[in-house]
Amino acid sequence: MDAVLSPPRPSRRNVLKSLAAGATVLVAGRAGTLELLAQDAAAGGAAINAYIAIASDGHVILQCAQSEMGQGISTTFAAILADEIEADWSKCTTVFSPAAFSPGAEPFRNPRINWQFTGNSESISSFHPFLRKMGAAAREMLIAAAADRLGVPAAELVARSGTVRHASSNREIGFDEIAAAAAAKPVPSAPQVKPESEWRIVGHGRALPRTDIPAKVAGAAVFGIDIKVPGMVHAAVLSAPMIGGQIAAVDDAAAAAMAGVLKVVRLDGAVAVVAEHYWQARLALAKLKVDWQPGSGGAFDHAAIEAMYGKAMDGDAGWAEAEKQGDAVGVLAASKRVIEAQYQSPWTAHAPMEPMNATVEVTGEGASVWAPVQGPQMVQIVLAQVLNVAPAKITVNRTYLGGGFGRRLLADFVAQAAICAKAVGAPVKLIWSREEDIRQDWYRPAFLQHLRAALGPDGYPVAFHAKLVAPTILSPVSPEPIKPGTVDGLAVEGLIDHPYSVPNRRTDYNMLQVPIPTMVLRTTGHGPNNFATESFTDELAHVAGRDPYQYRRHLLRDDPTTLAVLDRAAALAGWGKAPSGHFQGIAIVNGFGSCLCQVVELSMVGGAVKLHKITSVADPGRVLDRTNAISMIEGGVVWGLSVTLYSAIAFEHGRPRETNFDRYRVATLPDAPELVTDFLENRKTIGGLGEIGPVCVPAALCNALFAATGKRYRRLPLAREGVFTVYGKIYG
Amino acid sequence: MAKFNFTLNGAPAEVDVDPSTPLLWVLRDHLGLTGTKFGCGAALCGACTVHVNGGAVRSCAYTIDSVQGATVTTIEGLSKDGASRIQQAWIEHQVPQCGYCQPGMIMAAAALLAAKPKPSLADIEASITNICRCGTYARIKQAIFAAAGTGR
Repeated sequence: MDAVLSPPRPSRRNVLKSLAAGATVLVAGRAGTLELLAQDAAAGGAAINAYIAIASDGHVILQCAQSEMGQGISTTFAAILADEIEADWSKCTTVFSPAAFSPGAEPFRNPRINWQFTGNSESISSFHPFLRKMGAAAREMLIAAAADRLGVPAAELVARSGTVRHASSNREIGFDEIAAAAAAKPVPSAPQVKPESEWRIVGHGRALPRTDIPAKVAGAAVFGIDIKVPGMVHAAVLSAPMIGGQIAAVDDAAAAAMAGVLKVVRLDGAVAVVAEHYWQARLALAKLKVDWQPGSGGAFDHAAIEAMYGKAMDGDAGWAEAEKQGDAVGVLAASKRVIEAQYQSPWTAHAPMEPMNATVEVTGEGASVWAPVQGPQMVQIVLAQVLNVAPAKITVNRTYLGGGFGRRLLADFVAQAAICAKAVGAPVKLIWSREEDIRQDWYRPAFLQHLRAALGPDGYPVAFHAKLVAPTILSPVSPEPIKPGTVDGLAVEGLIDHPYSVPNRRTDYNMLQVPIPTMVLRTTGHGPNNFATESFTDELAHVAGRDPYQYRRHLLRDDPTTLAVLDRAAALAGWGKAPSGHFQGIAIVNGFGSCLCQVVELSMVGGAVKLHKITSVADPGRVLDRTNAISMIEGGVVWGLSVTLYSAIAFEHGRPRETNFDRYRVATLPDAPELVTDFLENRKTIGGLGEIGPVCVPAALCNALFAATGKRYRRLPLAREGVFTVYGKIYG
Repeated sequence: MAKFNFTLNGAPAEVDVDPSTPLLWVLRDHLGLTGTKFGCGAALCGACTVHVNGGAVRSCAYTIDSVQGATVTTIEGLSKDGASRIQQAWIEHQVPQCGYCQPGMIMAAAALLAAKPKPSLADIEASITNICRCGTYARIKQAIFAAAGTGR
């Protein structure tokens, strides 16, 4: 998906030229994350390039262009650089880079699409070759400086663990001693990256302790909500209860008279109270009397939305062809053995543990932002519009993110903080309540798929036709308007690119127009579409009278790399060898540049589901850090359990019915069964692991449930289909 | 507004706030201890878990007027330098992902281990009801067993 997540942009510049530009910025220093180096630069430290500086005490300071939202990127990103430089990993410090519209910060854009964002599971896949070059360039500059100092040819020198060594004279020189000279060396035009065999920090099954964890267990890690700025005041927000609602009238007399209240600020479809302390703002918010004007969708309810899906699916209007190979429709029409089924995934909310928040100080010429964001450039663009300044005048200081899952790609909450800060003339920290966080979410929409297959005499499909009805999920972050009647490339993921060999295939997509804001959410289109295709594959296997694993083996006969993942997962899970009374389900996906197969093992206890084990095998091409890779898959499995078992947003009176974790249910600790995770490294290119983990859980679990009960579940979440786990007390 | 006195992480603390102010916001906003997190405001997720008189409470729904004269421990006071056996187990098992819920998880686990030094899996499942959206539950279980000395 080349068009994803990228507003209009200037043409890409030469990477190595921009290294030099970035270096200037590093030496100059900036507020926030770079103070460390700026102070040190005066003492003799030097920036080698935009990403790499060496402090006077020998510490290597590495810029992380990506946001740390739990996926461990602040460790892995830095480790890739450190490995290529030949730095001493125990003496590396990671800082979060500035936002890429800031002066000299262009090198922090994702090099694939020239836009800085963290998402789409692509931090590693898009940055890996680039970071290796950055590190190699720094290493070659350090070696060139050492060659001058030692009076020997560069070819006789090697860099190792923070030093440059000359073997024959048994001399070595620390990076700190040659940093300034190295920074003055010309930037190599074609830096030579190390062969993989010489990776010393990442890869080769290594497990790297994450650098952010000690602060996180001490309660010392700074998330957006923890920011303290001198003179800061606090804002709480009440948005229109109905989606798209606007303010008709506000009576704020009682609120404005409350202790500590500084100002009541009108926002777009919301009212904020700014007070000296946060709870004062919350108390005053409760005293506001607001008349709301309903949104364009009016008081729609869930049944009306569902009816729109059904009407679109059954009608002729709005369809666009997303994929075609052979003549699936013709073969299906001529076939006497057609299987069809319809699947439905619900509306869901992001609901990261840290509610949306931002701290903004508006200055004479721009603004400073401290916020947990996935889209730093999006923040710059949005605040530039709000404050009528250039994007480069918006300084974004990135904090840790208490989860993101796609929600923090947007900057609507930052804009609210900026409007409040401008209104009161002081830095404002704005925090949404959990109810606001869910009510002002941009939801992942429900997906409705109708799948048809024609089976040949051998029981395998000769034609496959998928029809998908779903609103766009790409629109809020797309560079171009996503027009109705066209294809949203993210929404059809997993349908147009499933790995099975079927000679005739076709996918049609109908972009439903709904009065509800929609957005990417962890697993984008893959999650709902894999639930459909991999449940359906089991249904076909059942009709054909074949074992679901063996059936998939045949369908993957032309794709040995994917087949290897399937086989490894089946072997690791003990497919077909589960204890008596245990049942297994399997599903597989190719997505985010990786492959994943999962096997769920469960039993039924008194009519309730007891999960025993979930086995995951992924092939991301290369595993750079095994511990973190396992964490991504384990966490993904639990995310998958939430969406399979519990999570759903329904709408009543034009508003979401679920606005906190009492009704917006997510998986809790007893839900997590034994998790077994392993990796293959057969794929030719490196892929992502952050988004893929949940993808196969819904289908694998429902396939196991079918094996156990003979009942096929085609709608999620299961709690609303009357399926309970032994941990019970699940309600719809 | 009213004055409230209590013991916070071993030292006396005094605040002058509205009596309905949740302990969470007193800690975060008035006393500058931001290790305790806001997640739901309704005692549903446990991100705000602290100890009051040794027991785990959800401080987002625990008003300051209930804390008068009490002893409060937050993640910052659990150990001097994050070196408690529970926090060490959390590091050893690489539990946190985003980490936002983990101070509350650790405080809940500390209260469990204080009450039951060798908890069973059923004990853990019954008492650790906090929410983690990153899904670190499997490692949380391992880390609690490790901290209890019953690691497997």
